[in-house]
Amino acid sequence: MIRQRARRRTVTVLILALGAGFLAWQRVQATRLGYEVETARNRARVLRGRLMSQGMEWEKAVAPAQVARHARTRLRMEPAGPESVRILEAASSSAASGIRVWARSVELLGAVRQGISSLRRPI
Amino acid sequence: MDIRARLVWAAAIALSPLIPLTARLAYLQVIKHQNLSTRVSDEIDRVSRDAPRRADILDRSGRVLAQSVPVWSCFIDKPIVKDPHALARRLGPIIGLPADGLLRRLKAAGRFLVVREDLDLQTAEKVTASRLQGVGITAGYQRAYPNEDLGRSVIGTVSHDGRGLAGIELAFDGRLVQEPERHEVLRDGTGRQIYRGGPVREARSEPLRLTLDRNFQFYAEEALAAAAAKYSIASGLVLVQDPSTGRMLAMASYPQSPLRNAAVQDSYEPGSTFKLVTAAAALAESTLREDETVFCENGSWAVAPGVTITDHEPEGALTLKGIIGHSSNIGTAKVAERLGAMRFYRYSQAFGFLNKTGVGLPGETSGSLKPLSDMTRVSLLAASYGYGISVSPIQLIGAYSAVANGGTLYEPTVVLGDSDPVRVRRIAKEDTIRRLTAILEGVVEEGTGVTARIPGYRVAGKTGTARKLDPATKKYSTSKFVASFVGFVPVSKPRFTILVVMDDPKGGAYYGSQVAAPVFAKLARGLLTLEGVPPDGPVGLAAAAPRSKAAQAARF
Repeated sequence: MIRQRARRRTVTVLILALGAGFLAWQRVQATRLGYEVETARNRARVLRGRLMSQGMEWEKAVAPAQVARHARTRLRMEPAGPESVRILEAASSSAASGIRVWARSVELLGAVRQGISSLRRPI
Repeated sequence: MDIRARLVWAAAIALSPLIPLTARLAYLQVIKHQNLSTRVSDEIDRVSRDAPRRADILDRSGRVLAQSVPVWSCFIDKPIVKDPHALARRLGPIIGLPADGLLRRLKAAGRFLVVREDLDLQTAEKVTASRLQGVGITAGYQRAYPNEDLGRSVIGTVSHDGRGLAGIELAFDGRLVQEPERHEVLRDGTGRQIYRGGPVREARSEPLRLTLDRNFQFYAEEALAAAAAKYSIASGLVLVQDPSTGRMLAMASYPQSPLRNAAVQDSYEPGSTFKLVTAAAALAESTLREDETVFCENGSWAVAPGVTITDHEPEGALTLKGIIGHSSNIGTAKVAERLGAMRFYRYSQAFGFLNKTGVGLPGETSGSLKPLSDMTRVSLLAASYGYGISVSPIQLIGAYSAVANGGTLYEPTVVLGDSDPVRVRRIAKEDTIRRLTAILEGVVEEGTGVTARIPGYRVAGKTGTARKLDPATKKYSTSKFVASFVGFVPVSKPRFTILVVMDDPKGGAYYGSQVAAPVFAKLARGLLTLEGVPPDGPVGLAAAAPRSKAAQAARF
């Protein structure tokens, strides 16, 4: 009877000790995670800053004034006029199928030429 | 005494020192709990507030017009600094400030010294790595405009602390600004923060999307800048609107100022471009049959003692199309006289003049016209051809857009919303608008606006040349003018309404047809090409060459 009671006490004490240990452990973990989260937040802020700075650099590089300047000075391009716009009419079904047949035959011819040239290549 | 009692006594004696401790603990934990908890919180708990990031402003295609980019500020807590000379010597080169200047500021009064507020990340990291005592770095945001001055008169600007001061930045400040994020943190002995709660990810507010198009804006500003350089204008502006929705696509001002948007804040006497209202009223009210002519007094008409209306070219009898095409002031005044002040006033209001448009930009003017009760015969006649009345550019472009879209006046907008464009009212019947469009097309085809022609496209519009009122003499100047052109293209399905206003052009040319219409044509050509708008006019239409002698002579 006494032994049984002692065992129960031991178990209770153990459970309490384990509980206290767990509480202490989770407290330490929470603090550790708190540090990690804070460090990660700071890191994220820095990286976000870098990303934004680079995004801004990109936007500056593609600003119309910048693009126009480069197009005119480096590439010697001229602004296009409306006369350079061509509106293509939608092809009729017979014309479209004709174009498809023509494209397919050009493709086949190319494949045949490639095959012949590979046969001629010295081994 | 049995063993049990002895054990109890032994335990009681051994644990007795704990009794006062327990009592003390209970006192601190229960009775003084609130007080102590507050003290501890004050010392180690902190609420960390991340600087708020202002929302981006984008153009209609999502391209950035304004963005808040992170910057770092460097500050010095002076009492912590032991050797100011050494600090100035070491910190100065890192942040790019002369050491002696920094030292002088260090010796000045005050505890905190903000040394720089615009450091980039690399410099901020260098400062942190230098581990200088008393030197700290804080992160913040700075408003940046990647397209430099592009559209700045519309976008506006922000104050030092990131609040809107003008333009969109001011009008939508509440929408753009964001509450600072709060995080609960603990602070350890070394000052490092330990995260306890609050949002981990940065909250992002939705960007504000404008109706402006970055490329259109560039085209408009480029065309205006070229004209400004050519004619040495005092000021000018170019507006582009989508006539089918009222959305503003470009708003360029010269000179550019982020604190001022002339398109909505300024008003001016529109001159002949206002003849649109007189013509529309005459057509709608059947004041004049299409084939009916009005005698234009061969260029000079004395309407009252000391008041004479003149035309730039002597004209005889003209139909309404001829009056508008040749921009006859006398013809227009005679039409207005038949119309009467009441109807003229009603149509002016119907076209959106004399009231604010509701564009939602700060400082909008409503323009002005004498009240109906004060309107005399002379003031009615003058107003019919755009004198003695002031309108804002955004009102004028809205009126022409209403004609372009078939007769619906839309509320102009600069912000893309989920809702449909706001229809203000229908200004006239479809038939009236169709006839009015034909008259405006005639202006470009064979009237005063031939320089606005674009090969392959049908263009409709009206020139305007208004004498400026001299504030000193209170008389109209004979050497200072406001030249303008407003029109839409392509007529068959208008995509753009464009207004060009040039204030005080110099170098001999000052007519709307000479100064403003070519800017319209140049800009419209660019926009039509950019959007790939198919031509709607006869192929091979001669480039801007006047078709008739009358057209050559007509310059107003």
